[in-house]
Amino acid sequence: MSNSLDALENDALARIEAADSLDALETLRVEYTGKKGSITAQMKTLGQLDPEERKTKGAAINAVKDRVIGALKGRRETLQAEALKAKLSAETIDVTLPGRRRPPGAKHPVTQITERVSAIFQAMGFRVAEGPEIEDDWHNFTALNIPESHPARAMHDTFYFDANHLLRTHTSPVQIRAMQETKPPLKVIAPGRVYRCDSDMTHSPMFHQIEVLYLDENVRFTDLRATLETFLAALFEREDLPIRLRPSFFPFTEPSAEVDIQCVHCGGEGCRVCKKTGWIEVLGAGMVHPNVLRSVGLDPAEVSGFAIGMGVERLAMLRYGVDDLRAFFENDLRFLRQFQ
Amino acid sequence: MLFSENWLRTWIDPQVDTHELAHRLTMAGLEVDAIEPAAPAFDNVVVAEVKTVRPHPDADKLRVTEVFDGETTWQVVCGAPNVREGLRAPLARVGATLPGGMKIRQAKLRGEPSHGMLCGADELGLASARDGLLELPADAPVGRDLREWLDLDDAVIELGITPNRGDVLSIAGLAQECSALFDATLTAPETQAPTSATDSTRAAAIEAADACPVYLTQVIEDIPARNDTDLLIAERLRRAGVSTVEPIVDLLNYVMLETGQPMHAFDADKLDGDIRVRWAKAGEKMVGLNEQELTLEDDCLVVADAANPIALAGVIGSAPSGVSGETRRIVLESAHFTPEAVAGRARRFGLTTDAAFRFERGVDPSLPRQAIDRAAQLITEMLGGQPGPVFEATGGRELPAPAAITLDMDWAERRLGLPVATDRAADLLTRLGCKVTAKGNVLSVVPPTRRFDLAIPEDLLEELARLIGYDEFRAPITRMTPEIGLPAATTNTTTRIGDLMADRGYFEAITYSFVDRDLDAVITPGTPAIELANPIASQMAVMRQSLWPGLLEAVAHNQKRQQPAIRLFETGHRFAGSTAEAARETGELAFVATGHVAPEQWGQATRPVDFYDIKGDLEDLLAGLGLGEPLSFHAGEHPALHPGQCAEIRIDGHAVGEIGALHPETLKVFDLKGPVFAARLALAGIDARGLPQSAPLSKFPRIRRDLALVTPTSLAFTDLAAAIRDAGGEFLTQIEPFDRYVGEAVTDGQQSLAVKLVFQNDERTLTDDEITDTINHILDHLRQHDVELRG
Repeated sequence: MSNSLDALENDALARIEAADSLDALETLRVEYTGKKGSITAQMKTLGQLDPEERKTKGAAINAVKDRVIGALKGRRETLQAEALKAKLSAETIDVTLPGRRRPPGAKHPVTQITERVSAIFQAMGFRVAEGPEIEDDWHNFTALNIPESHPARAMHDTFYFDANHLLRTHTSPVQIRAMQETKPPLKVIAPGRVYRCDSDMTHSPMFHQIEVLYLDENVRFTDLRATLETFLAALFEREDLPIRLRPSFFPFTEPSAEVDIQCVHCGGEGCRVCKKTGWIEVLGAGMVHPNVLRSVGLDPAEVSGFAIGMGVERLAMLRYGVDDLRAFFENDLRFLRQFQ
Repeated sequence: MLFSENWLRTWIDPQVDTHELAHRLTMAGLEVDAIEPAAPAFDNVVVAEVKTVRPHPDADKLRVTEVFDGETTWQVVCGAPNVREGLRAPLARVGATLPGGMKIRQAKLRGEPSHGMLCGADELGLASARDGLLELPADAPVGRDLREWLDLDDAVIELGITPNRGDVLSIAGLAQECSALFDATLTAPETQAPTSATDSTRAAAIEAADACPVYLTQVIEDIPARNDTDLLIAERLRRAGVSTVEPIVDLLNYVMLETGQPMHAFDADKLDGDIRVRWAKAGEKMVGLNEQELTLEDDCLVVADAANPIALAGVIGSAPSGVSGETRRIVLESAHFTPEAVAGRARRFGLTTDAAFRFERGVDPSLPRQAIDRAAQLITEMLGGQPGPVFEATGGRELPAPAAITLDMDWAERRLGLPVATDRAADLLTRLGCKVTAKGNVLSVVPPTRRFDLAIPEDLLEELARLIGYDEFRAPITRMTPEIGLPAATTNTTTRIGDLMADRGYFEAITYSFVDRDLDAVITPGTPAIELANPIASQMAVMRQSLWPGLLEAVAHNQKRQQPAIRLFETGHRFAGSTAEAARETGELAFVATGHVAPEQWGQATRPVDFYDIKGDLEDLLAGLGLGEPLSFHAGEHPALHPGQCAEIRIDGHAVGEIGALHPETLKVFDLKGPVFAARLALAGIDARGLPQSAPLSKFPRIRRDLALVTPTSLAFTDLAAAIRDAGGEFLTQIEPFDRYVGEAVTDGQQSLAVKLVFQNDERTLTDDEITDTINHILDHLRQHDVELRG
């Protein structure tokens, strides 16, 4: 009797191990442990035995049943794992094929520089101001201490509409408008398009400037330098970027300066970019001329300030290594895509 | 401005090398733009004398010469036509290296031995007045090294002089600047006015004293026939970038370069009577030395004789009165013209002259006498001639004299940020030629007459700062009134708009604000654009009334470069109103799309962009700007757009722009391959949004019902949706079309439209019966619009 139970178990375990599908396994489960299964049938024979024997044999049959159920479970898990593995394997794709893209566009490099410069000055408390591009002579020249006969007017090859209206030649008239609108303290930054009647390799009839103006009581020349150091270090992302100020001339500032940074390409050693000087001119600046303050009704004895003006294309060329000014206005996607 | 370093160093010789000199000038505000050698590298070239010349036996164009180099006589074969016995010319000896590295070797030319080469100016990189050999003066020292004799180991320094510094446009001016910079004394060459040899004068009268306070003339007679300008003078002119013209003119240019005073000479035999300095009569004509006919206006100051203008004062002389090689009798002019009298006149006639450049910036009014003496000295010494006395005309006014400037050194510290000791300031300003008197901490400063740019205390601040060095003025920022520079949270900045557009796949373009008149008129017909008076080109003649013309040109540019997908946007001003006076500038956002909707990809078919792609971009943009809710579209019309694919964009019912497909005619004008879609929005219509306000989320389920409707194609979806909404009750929260069919299965003029409806009540779960009732109500209502449930 126990021999036949052993044989039954051995047979069952062998067949379970050999089962190669979940269906085959289910057939075996029914065959052994189902209501009409052979192990169930063994249990049914217990009733004919005396209690002592029934107990012993019952325990033996239950043990066999547990082992068979365990084997069925184990085999099922194996087969399920194999089936999953096979399914996943069949679903393998080439992950190196390109995805379905909707590629991003990009802002124009001039805009990227403008926004960066604006953000730096906004962080210093300057607000963005705007002005018209069609200006009158007074805002563009006269109020900025550039009288009719001034040779500086010759340097501004001006687009005119009529005797009194022109396309602004710089963003400086926004200074005037800001001063007319707001009493000091005043901190504004004015980016925008400007126009000069000149077009060649290095001149575009339209380009961009950013004007910065700070007016308050007793703003000092040293404050201008400190502001420039902070700004230029932030823009070029070089801590302690050396800068130098050279005397220059703008009709609307006195003293006036041109501002150089140490060449960011060679670190001041001298290279092609800085024409071997170690320095690169990046902007102009100065203390607001008293005549400019008077033109908007401010008293130079009570108020002083500084103004900074920079050419955006120049900064963009430096930052992004663009060497042809005209590329900025061709709007060639192959160029624009480089600024994603 | 170009100048010879060695010439400057004959006036003042600071103990620094060329590089340091240039650096100091740059840091003092006289920016050095370039430093070039005065002559290219060559060596072993000496002054030689041609002793004999005979024809070459085997070559017509060659001559065989004997040349003495100071030590030895050599046979040299020469091809220059001007070689002749007695001529002194440069000889490159055997072993010499010429510019470009050419080595001179002993050679045979057509059988004749040649020991060296006689040189022309061009072969030495020098200015050449004529072809052939460089003819050296008869007294040129034979045997002398040419570089040494012509002072060719010199640097030509180019300065970018700002308009305020007319005073340094001369060697004298630069020397004065260097004197202040290096605290060194300068030595001017000795000027010895020639003794009058005749009584000849030419009277002058000033009739415009405000414009010309002083006018000097001097007659020089019997000037002999002239050869080339002295080589050393010509070399200094060349290094200053001035070409030689005629010996008298060259010497006057030389005096201008040396002193800063522009000079002029008239041919005395061509003048009719005395000279007057007067304002021109409007319409008066004069032919300038450049043969250009000038029609003068009444604000042009002229020098005239009894009959005609003989010069546009301080700008250019007239051709008929000019000096030529035949001139034997001249009238020298040395005068002061005020900047106001000269400024802009040259530019008005398209002229640029050295005289106008200087007078516009201001020439020292004390110079004319000194300069005329120097010119007369050089002319009579170098060319000969009999000088008369100087005739001086004044307008009866004082020469312009600078007023004293009060400089409070306490104020200076407040403006500069650092103190400058009063005695140091006085010393620095004195070095610049100012007369300085101190009273406590306050200086009274009278600038020199040459400094037109020093008028107010701020000007003196700059002088102090630049002599001390701008870079010495460093200090931490004192204080800045704290302010917030950020825009309001409810502002839709162009930064935000640009970010959304770029994320959506659009590249930002920057196109010119001035466009072609015809292209602008295609987009904005009927309203004339504002015209530029002096456009740079006809395709940039008017201010754009829309950003579309520029963007469409950019599309064409990219289509021609095989770009398969083009999406561009731009923000900027558009200009309305027909005149600049009445111009209205408003901000506009415009974008265009054409080509593939998505990049070609292995797993999905590509297709061209259509109206609903660009519309989707617009809808998502406005959703991102917090304006999705109030946005609506209405079939519209626009002259540049397809009449059936054009919508007006509205926000809260107000028109803010247009969107659509370009009209085939528009495509043709812009040379575009269609379809191309374009949109534009007034920035004023989208630059503000509300602050987002949160509402509680519903705890109850949403219920979706789909309706398959047959609708007339003439019924706009917005109208259908409005009808559904009218009948849908308060719990209808969403109406979305999700399928559309037009074709054989539906009658002509009708379409099958599948619409999703979503119902939600925030307080309870809606029942099926309620929904069914509502749907039936909607369907009843829709029948009024000829909409039926699909059978």
